[in-house]
Amino acid sequence: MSQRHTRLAAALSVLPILALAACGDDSGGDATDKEHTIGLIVPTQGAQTELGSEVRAGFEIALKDASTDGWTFTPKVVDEGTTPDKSVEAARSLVGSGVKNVAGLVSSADCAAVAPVVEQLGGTLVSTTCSSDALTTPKLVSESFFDVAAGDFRYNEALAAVIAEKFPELSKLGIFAWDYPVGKESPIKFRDALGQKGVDVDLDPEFYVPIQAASYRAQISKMAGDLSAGDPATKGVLLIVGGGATTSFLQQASAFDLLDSVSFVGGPSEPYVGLRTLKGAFPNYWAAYDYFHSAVDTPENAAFVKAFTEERGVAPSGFAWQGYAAGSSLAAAIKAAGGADPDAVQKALLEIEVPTPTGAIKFDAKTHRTNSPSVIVNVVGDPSEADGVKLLDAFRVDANGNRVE
Amino acid sequence: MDQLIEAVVSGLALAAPLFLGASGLAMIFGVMHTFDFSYGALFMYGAYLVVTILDGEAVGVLVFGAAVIGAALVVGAVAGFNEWLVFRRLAGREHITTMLGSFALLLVLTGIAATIWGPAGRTQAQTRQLDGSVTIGGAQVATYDLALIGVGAVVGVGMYVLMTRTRFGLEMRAVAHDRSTASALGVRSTAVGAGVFVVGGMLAGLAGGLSAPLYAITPELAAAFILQSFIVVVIGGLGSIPGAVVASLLLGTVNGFLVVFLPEFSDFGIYAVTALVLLVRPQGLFGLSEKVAA
Amino acid sequence: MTVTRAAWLRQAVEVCLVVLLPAAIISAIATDLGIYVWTTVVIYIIFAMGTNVLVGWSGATSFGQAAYFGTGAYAVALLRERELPNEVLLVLAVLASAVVALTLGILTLRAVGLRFGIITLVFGQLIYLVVFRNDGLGSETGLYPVARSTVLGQDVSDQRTFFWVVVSVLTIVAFVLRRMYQSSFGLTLAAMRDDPLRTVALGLPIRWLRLISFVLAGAVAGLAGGLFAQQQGSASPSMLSFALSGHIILICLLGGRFRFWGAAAGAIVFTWAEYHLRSLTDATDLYLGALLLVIVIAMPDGLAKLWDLTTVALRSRSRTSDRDEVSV
Repeated sequence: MSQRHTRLAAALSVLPILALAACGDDSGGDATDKEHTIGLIVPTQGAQTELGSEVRAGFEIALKDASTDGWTFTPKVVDEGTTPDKSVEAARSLVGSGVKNVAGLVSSADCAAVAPVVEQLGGTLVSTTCSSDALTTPKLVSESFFDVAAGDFRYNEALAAVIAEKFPELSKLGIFAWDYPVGKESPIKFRDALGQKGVDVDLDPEFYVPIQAASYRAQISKMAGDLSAGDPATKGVLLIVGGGATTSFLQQASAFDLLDSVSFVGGPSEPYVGLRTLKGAFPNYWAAYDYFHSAVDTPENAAFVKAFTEERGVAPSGFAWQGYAAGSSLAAAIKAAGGADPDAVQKALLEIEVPTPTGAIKFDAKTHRTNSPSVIVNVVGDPSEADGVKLLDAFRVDANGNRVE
Repeated sequence: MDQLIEAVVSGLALAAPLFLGASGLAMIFGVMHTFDFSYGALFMYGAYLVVTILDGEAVGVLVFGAAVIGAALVVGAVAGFNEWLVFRRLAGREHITTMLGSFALLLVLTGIAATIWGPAGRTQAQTRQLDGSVTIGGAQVATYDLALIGVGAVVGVGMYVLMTRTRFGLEMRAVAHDRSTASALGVRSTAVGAGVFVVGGMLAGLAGGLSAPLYAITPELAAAFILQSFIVVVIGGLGSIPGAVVASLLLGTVNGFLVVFLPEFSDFGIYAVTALVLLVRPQGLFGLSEKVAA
Repeated sequence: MTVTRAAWLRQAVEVCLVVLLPAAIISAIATDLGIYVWTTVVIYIIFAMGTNVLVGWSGATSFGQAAYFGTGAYAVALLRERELPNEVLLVLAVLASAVVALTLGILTLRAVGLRFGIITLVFGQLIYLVVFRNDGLGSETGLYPVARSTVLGQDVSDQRTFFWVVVSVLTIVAFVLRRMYQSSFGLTLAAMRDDPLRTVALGLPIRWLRLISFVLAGAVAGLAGGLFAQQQGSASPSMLSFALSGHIILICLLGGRFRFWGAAAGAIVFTWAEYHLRSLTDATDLYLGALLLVIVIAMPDGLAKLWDLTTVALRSRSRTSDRDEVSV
């Protein structure tokens, strides 16, 4: 008898925990026709918090800028979490509660899991930072998926276009890349792109390091030895790593003469977040991404940089621009569509020109990625600058690999 | 031949930081028979403290050394506090429970670091006199790495002296071997336990502080570092300091060889070696053969 | 009725009450988002109960269980274009992970205790790296989209329907494990855990037992993984990570590994605590760690202690025998 009571007690004592399940979501959704909430899913804690806060700040400025003529756009930010299932939860909590238009996501695995769910729940997703080309080529992960980031290989090719022009004598290119498919393919594509512009290089030496590794001394030392002979104009180093890895590489390489014996060091990833932590202690460096704050001299950009610096105490990075572009896209699409209906919004996204600090951008009908030209910068560390980063030169390259002004 | 020397020299340079990082963990395990996950957080605190003290600026060797030692002392104190707060209360429980507690502590300490220092990365500029490189046997070796080899040797010798020539070391070994008998013979096990954590913490702080000029310093440093130290301690044989030395040398050299001769396999290198050693000799290189008991 | 038939019935009733009754209540009152999270919770319960065969029943802590969970997930994802029904899909997921578990189980047979933990961790990491570096397996982005397959010919993509699919799988798994727990198999594993020397001295095939429990744990993990790929809509490398392996061990320990339902309790409490903390604060890990610390220090046997307090309060009279204590 008491055993049955025990079992009943077992089932019943779970109830308090079930009560937690009843905690509902806020009902989001829009109050009037011209008041809309746009969601943002970015990391707000954990390893990529810094990246997430950059995107978020840019996004919030965009929504403020778009709140004119009686329109009001309110941001709603949810943590992306460290795994795709958490991002899916975040998406469900937003779209399920009426916030149909969502931006954000920095990890491609998260984009892959979230995009179909957003479509299924009747929403629209404009990613800020998912750079995996597989999401849009050869086929879209979802019809309601759009992406402001140009894509891993596009930055790569844009950089190659400029490097071919500036370093025509390059013949030997050292590779330092993360050990994963993008890290292995990018150098090959880079070499091919250089070859198309008449610059033929050998990829030698090549080092592929684990993503979790932080110590590169052995590889750098070997690279320094291999690249020591010959005219610097013929040698370069290509980095296919991101985030803190670039910073660690530059720090660890400073002990050797590696960076003096080559004429070109750089890579196709966002440079500013990492370089500004070095307090001016880094050599001549080339990077390609969607944006660099001092590369463009327009009133819109000046306003953006000012607003961002007031908010965050530092100039905006490429991630901030992505946040702005995504927020601006959804706001502009909602205005053009006259409401938040997903089909109308998605149709509008393919038609409109979206205002950004660097000019208007449009989404490509097939790839749902933007035609925004990549920005290639040449920077050098300078302790006398406030952020330690001095811009030497900037270029823009469009999706076809041609220079634009 | 040139390449061979290159690989060996590279390997030695890699081994020093590995050993520095793992030595404290090996010591803690040897005496407490428990893996301390929070050790990774202590390493990270060492790095953060140095960068905070020096504000990331390049300084001379003496100032840098002072900052590192200062950081190590603070971290040692933190470790002592952790011992009192958590590990003492978990003494006598199963080892897995203590590991769980140390993991929870790791989460808390990492969270505190993120709150204090924020999510943005920091960097520490390299010490002025040590920022170049020398050529040894055809390989370029960073001067700083040579300094680390020196520090590693000093720490190794220091630990040897501590363990074999001091009373504390004797008590440590007694507790490591058989805690209850040691207690019965008058060894103050609790004090020894606390002392071990403090010394281990200082070593972690020292290793972290010395690593500050090499990496971008973020709250993620803890997790990245602990796995690496685990592997060194386990290959060396849990609890054996000489084992940790040999394991560091082994891993460093293997890595050095792979980088020079087989760069495509660097990823698998460390794990493959670990798996191999453990398959052939589950107790690690210097560990004692364990009974069937789990 | 024979003793065994009565036991069979009693265990079936117990499993149904503990699993199906709360599931029905949850299904009735939870919001759409709540049901999604509960589905994840139930999948973790399956994963944890399988892992507890090693951690709790055998006392062998493997830090690489995510490898089998992930194998199940990737198996389902690789077959996503074949339009196989779930009955086939999940069996294939189980087979795939069982094979991997058998292979690694044989290799790790000689290691015990912490060495076992480390070598399983290392193999888990190797599998993670192999998948992460492989373009054909989707590299960092993973394999997608993974649609929810059919069950008994019915479409189960609706979240609430899928919740019941997962609950049904749990019911079956829990019943099978419940039978094993109190069978001679389960008791022998407990003997092996508590006193290996004596077990060997009694002539019991300790290595076989360890291998079987390892494969069983891996197979159940693969089943959970196969369901999880359908839950998330993709298979991603995070399903093979050390973080997940550690997570599931934590859940087993938290809930109370020496109790049959401990792993389930751990999964429920930990997943929901993390969910709510994440929406309340940006310092989730800090508070989670503090919560864990309190539980670890105050409750040596995990949340099972809370359970004891509840049942002691509810029970009116004299204590039942020790055997009944152990059975929960």
